[in-house]
Amino acid sequence: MKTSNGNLPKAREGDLVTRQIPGELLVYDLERHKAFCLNNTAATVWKNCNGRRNVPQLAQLLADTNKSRVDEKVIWLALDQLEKSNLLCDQVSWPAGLARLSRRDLVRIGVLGTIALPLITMIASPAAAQTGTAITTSACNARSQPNCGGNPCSNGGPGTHCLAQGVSNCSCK
Amino acid sequence: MAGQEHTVWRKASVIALASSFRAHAFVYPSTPVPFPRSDLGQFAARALARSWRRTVPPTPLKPEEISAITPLAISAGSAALLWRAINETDSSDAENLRAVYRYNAINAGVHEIHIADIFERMGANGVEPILFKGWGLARLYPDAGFRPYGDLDLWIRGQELEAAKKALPAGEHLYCVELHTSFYDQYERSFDQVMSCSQLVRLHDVDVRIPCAEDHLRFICMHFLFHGGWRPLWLCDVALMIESRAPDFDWDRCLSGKRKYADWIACVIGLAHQLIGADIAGIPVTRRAHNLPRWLAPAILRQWGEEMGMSFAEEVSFSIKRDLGRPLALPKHIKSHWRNPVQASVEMDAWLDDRWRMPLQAAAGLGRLSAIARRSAANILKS
Repeated sequence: MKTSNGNLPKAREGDLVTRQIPGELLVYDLERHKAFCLNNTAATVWKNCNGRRNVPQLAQLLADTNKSRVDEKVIWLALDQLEKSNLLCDQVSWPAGLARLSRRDLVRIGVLGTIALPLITMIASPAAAQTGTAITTSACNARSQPNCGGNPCSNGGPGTHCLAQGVSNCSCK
Repeated sequence: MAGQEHTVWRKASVIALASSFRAHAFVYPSTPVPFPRSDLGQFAARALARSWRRTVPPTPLKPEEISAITPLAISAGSAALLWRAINETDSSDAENLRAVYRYNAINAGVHEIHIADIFERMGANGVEPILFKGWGLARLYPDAGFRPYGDLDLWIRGQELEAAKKALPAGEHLYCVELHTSFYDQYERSFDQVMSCSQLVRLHDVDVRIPCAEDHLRFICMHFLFHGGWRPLWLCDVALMIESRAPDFDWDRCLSGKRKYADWIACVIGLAHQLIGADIAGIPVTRRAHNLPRWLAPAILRQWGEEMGMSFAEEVSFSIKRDLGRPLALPKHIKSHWRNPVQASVEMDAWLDDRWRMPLQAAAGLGRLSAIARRSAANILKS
């Protein structure tokens, strides 16, 4: 991964699916097949990472948006989470002397304004039966490719589906 | 789904709901339900009433009733609609249901790219599929995240089957398309008839073909019946289609065919009205919708109160090998395959009238015995 020049973070644009829902931005990474939920603060920072704004500018923008003072540490926390979630083009060059801070650290040192701290969470799959007709492991094992079907497995563990296994078999995984 | 199915499970060039995504599974805690099962279906109906509309009335359910049906709603695909209905409440289940809504919402975004990709590939190979259910219904909801779907049901001409399979990208997995060359006989529509009235909807710069509302409503009513009505979400689909129909909706087209099957459709519409409050003003089957067979609504509510629904029953033909050494388990499995009155009636091609359903259920069971015996013998020999 490259390191961005002069802390001008740039949001990734390719291979992502985004969906805005009330109060949150959902992002699906088509490369890594992971989905994330960004709260408003994280989403605002991410959407404004255009490779031309630095951290103080992002802090000011967030402050203007929320009509509240925003400590730059909040932006660093957001960038840290965005970077870990692979939602930035490049690695953020962390300033010397600034330790990576957690949300808890920010609360402890009193960096709390009227805005919520940035939060990015991974979206988990609900119970296996959400979509498609569930089948049992044995029913899945009895199938052969290309007719594994992809059905959720009712007793193969949460989130498992009947998928191709090896050359011709199917199994819940 | 009855008819010829050809499931193709391929990896798309860009889209796949990979196992890494699914692995972080949301597991709903299994807690004892403090209500009789018979009440749960009733709760589900009350909770989902009018939940498909742009403005949802506040739920009449108590928090403990919501808690009781939350696992059912998650397993049956109606969690996001339930979340919507209880959005303003301080129910402790709201956050869990919202998590499902998030998952559905982003999944919908991924599926939409997926569908556009499939239609583009099909078109490039000279195949003209018609997309049923899934996105074709989800697009009608105020938010696609309220209506989850998994596999993509495509109806194609029989002679285009091989070309359709080739159109999908080769690869290992995670691209679930169900190719159908026919549907239920009772649907009484040929591919060409449906094609002649189908509509093209633009999705990510690709034209996606779906049936006209009349043919689609007929289909989803049939689908609901043939699956024993076990998902409340499917009845919400029916309700939504009725309420969002265009002023020139052609009821003759929707209902034409044998009287018995038109009556089946009227009964499903009646269920949508009586159980979840669909507005059926101005439709030609209003009288029938108000006068359903006495057993029908209770049978659906009972089914909704069941933990998984019959589609989750393990195939007896697979379990029989194991159960030969545990004879007490066999009756349990056979019982789980016992058709509910709705499914038995349509499988036996019967009128949905006030006659006793037990003989039909028994006949449906007997009819399945030979198939199960044949598959069981094959499995035992195979092992």
